[in-house]
Amino acid sequence: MNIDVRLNLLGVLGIKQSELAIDTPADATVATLIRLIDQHNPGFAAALTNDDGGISSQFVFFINGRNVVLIDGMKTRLNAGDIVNVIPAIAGG
Amino acid sequence: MIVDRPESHFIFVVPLDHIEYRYNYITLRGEPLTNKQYLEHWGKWLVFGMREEVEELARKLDPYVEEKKVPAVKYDRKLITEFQLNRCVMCVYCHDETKDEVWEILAALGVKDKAWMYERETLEKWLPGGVNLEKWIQGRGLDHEHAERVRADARAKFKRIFADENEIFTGIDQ
Repeated sequence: MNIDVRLNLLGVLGIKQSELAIDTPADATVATLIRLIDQHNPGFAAALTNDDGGISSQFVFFINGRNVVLIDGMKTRLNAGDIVNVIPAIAGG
Repeated sequence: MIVDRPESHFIFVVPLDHIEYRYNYITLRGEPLTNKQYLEHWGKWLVFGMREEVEELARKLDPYVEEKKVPAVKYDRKLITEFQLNRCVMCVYCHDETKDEVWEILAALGVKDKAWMYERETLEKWLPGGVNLEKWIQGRGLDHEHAERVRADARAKFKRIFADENEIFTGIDQ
């Protein structure tokens, strides 16, 4: 399924592609998507993941505007047509 | 009304009633929020752009703020160098029960990236150990003693503002 991804203000990560259309398996989760984004932007997965395997507190991962930490974190399921937006946590006001 | 006070890092868009009559815009359907309700339900849509872009959006949002369809807006006067971001951040505030209506306004004005954040999430980031506070301390190059004072002040300020969860929320100086 197709997921639109926008990586905003992530110059600190040396992001090469900030707007991506990622084709994912039907049962993809946030964890799956992060690995797929990493294929386009090496180092992304390492930066987004904390030592416990969760999402690093340095970033906020939104699906359709909702912070995934408030849904199911890395296990949050994706749906076709979802729009993902990732920002540095410090950009959150 | 766009409120631009040079001593503030932020530029605000608030209803004229707030300036002239102290109208409280932190409400749901006209009812002011308690501290507890504020932490549970108040938040903002985040918009990123260069100063000119957020300024133009602020001008477009001003009529909606005056009509009280958007409670309030705040945006960076300039880039926060300590944070190493290359865009200004605009916060478009509302209660989570009305955020879809506010999003419709933003989308109609051309905002594409959808990012909702609760104020409690932001406040946590400005407490000791929070990413924003620690990054700010690091960016300012504060020595240990000064950094500890900043952390203690942040903790005390939060405690003071939210001491009684049933009191009406009265705002945070920015």
